[in-house]
Amino acid sequence: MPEDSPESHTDEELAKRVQAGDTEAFGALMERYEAKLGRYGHKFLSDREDITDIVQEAFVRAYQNMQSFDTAQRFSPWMYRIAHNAFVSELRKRSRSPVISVDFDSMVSHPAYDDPAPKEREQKEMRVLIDKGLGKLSPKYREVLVLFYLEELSYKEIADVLSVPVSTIGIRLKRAKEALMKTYQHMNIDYGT
Amino acid sequence: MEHNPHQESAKDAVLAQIREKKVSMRPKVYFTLKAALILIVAGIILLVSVGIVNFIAFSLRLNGHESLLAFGPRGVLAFLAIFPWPLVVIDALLVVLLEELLRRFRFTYRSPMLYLILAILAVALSVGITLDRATPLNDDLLQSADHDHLPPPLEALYEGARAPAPHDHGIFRGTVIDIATSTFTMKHDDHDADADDGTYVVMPPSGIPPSDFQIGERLYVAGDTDQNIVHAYGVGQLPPEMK
Repeated sequence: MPEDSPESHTDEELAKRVQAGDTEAFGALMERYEAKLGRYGHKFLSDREDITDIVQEAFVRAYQNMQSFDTAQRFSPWMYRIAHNAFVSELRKRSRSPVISVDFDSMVSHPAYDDPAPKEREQKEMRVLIDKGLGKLSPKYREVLVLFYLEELSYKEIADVLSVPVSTIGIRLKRAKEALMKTYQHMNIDYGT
Repeated sequence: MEHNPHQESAKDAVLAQIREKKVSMRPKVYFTLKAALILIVAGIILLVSVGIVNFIAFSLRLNGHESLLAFGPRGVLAFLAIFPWPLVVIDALLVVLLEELLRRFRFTYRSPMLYLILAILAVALSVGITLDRATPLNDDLLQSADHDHLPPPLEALYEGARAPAPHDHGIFRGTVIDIATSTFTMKHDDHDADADDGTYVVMPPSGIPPSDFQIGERLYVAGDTDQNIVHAYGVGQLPPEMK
């Protein structure tokens, strides 16, 4: 691999190059994130073309706002946040529920939850469970499960993606897992094996 | 590796838009100015919010309604009934708007929403009330409004600060003109020069002899009226009227 090829750079280094006007570096970033964001979007929407359109829109917004990205921070949560906002905005357009909703679990502080790196086995099990039962969960719970178990972001990074306090992520993830288990019970699926 | 048929098309579509200059990067100064603008707007909203709290505190002080809080449960109910709730609703909306604006910044969205709202309220309440109680700001503004020296929105606001006593809630303000053994007579004047101006005989609540008051003193009286007699459940003193 040539030393200066995009593959040899971190996301943040590529973002810095984009800020300096290197369009090809942005192409490399899109290549890295398109499948990930598509997978993330699949947890919100089912239509593949819609997902592609929204991912494309997210990339356009990312490019337009690239100068606001702080290259001392991780690129991944920043990109996910843009995509998240685009998907949520699309969901709101389609939803009959009111546009303004209040997240009561981000209203107050919650006991501090550790940000554990999930064990490999737990990670694999959760991935399978999430893939099967996610459709039944509310988007609020879907997104934390996907970001933590599938996209492997930390609590802090998820908090940045969702613009909520870090302690909210801990409690939301706990509730999301409980909701997922309940879903499995309703579906009469043995989730313990 | 899994092949995604949309992968190339999305990337190529965006790159094509960039190359055709249909999509361009916003300059760094845009974001600096945007953040500055949001902070300025947030500052203005906070100032307006402080101003509303300050005006509510001033209005309650000027009209003597705070006395009701010392008149027992009936007084508290009357206080709640005449409290300027529309201003409180406007202030609450401003606080929500301010919270929404500030949540764009990492230092705010990392705190629980309720704490941020409480912090904004604490700032608005403490600064607003301190401005009224510890500085002559409102009294000076009222005098300026009386002399037509204030710009239009402020002038209208301060001119309307002297509200008539809400006699439908049994509230009377006036000056003591005569003191008898068990009653005193008060000249009622609530700044509106209407039919309810005149003299009232006030029977103070038990435990408060009329001799506690002096002729010429301004009083705030809450009670039930029977023609021109007020059976008071509370009597409070008012500061001398500002001219």
